[in-house]
Amino acid sequence: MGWSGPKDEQEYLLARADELVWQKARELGISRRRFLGLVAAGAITVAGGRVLHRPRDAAAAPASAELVVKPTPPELFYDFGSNKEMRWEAMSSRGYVVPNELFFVRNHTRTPRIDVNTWRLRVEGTGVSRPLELTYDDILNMPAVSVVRYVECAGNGRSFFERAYGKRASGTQWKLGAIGVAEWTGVPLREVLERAGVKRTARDVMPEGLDDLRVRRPMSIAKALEPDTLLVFAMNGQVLPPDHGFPVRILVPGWIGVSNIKWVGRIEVSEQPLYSPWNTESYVLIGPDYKPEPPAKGPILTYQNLKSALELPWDGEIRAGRHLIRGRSWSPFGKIGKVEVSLDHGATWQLATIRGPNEARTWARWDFVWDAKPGFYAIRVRATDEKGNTQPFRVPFNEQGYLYNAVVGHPITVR
Amino acid sequence: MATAASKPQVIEISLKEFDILPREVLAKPGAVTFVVKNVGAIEHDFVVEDANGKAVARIAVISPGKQEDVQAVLRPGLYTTLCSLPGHKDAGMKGLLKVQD
Repeated sequence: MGWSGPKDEQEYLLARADELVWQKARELGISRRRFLGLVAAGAITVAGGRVLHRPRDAAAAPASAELVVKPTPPELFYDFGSNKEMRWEAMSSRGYVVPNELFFVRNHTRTPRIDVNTWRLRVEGTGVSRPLELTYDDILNMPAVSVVRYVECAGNGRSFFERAYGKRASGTQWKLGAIGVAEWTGVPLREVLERAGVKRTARDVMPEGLDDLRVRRPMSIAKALEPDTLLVFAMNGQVLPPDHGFPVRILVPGWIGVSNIKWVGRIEVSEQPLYSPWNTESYVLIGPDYKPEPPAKGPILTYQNLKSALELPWDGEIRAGRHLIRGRSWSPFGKIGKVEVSLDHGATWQLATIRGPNEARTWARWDFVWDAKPGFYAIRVRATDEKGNTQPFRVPFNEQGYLYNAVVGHPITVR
Repeated sequence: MATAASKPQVIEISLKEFDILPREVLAKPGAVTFVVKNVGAIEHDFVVEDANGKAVARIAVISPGKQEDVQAVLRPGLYTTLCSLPGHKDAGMKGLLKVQD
């Protein structure tokens, strides 16, 4: 077609831009919609056909005493300082995923502010033959996938040890809100490791964060190579927020939350087993039922376990009458097979109806109808997954309060 | 004979990210009360270990802004003061206690 001036040029540029978007999105292995979302969020810009990372705002946040960047109002969160627990009632009017603004925060120290211009990810160690240094742009240009998975703190449910045993396990006294499900977009860690020439003799992979404690925790090479172990750069279609690991975090589906290292700056790949304080002194089971496993103080945690929660305020109130009571259950090992509910302290149980998506490593939603009569109740929920795991009625005590997944009586008053 | 003046000794310690101050403290053998204040922004704990790594005093948790104390009866020797939360010692929360006449 002949050129005939500005109008044509405009159309040409639009067509070219659109073509570029399709091309870049395809290269990134993400949908066009998601690519545009990332551009809109300012994480990436497209100039002259190249995808560039966006420089951090010139008015960078001042060095702040703030432990957590995003607002965490008390109506939506329980405040534990550097940790903010999601209130389960906030999810009662929400959809399948937890929006970023409602997602729980667990920081071992404070959220660091990373300058993405100077940020690099090093992949190094005895287990790789081609150590790498990647920029943010490099990572965004690698093929990416999106998966819907939960991230749950190892100590979710910890407060219930005190209820059960009369003594507190040490650590943040979470109820059941240290969990969230999101759509995570990222590059399979396998892809990154293969580019670094991961050796057949590699045994452990340890991502390390850029926070002021350099929180770092190894995983086996087998786990690192699973298809849904990702180097994540987006959360629910938006650029990964600072509190959740900007610029890049690891996603290790089904494993305890600490494995999902935030603000990754380095990944060590080793032919020898690796250890850090987070798999020798903590995130190990210490208690009467457990023996030390030197150099670790006890068995080292990997997988999470099966739990359930109700989308109700804890020790809250509802009006008498007919309610559709909703909740969610999650297992790292399999789909949820059944969910049983008791309104009379375990004397009788009814089945809740499972709705919608139901897969391992994410949650299944369920509900049941309750003709609630005035009184005080402790609603019990017991899930069973398709691999035969069932929530027990008792969990052995461990000093650091991990993996409490016994059936919990959720207090609620009906007026 | 061990009739050392058993006047109670009080040692004040501050904890923050990521320091124990003062880094070196002196005490005489006998009863010591550690008064430990968390002047940082996150939780810490406080442990005193003898030369063999055995804990002789411990405060399980000190919230930001709070102060807790613990008593111990110490023999002469070198001890380590530290916060035992993972990574905190490596990041600098480690000090020295000399107990001597």
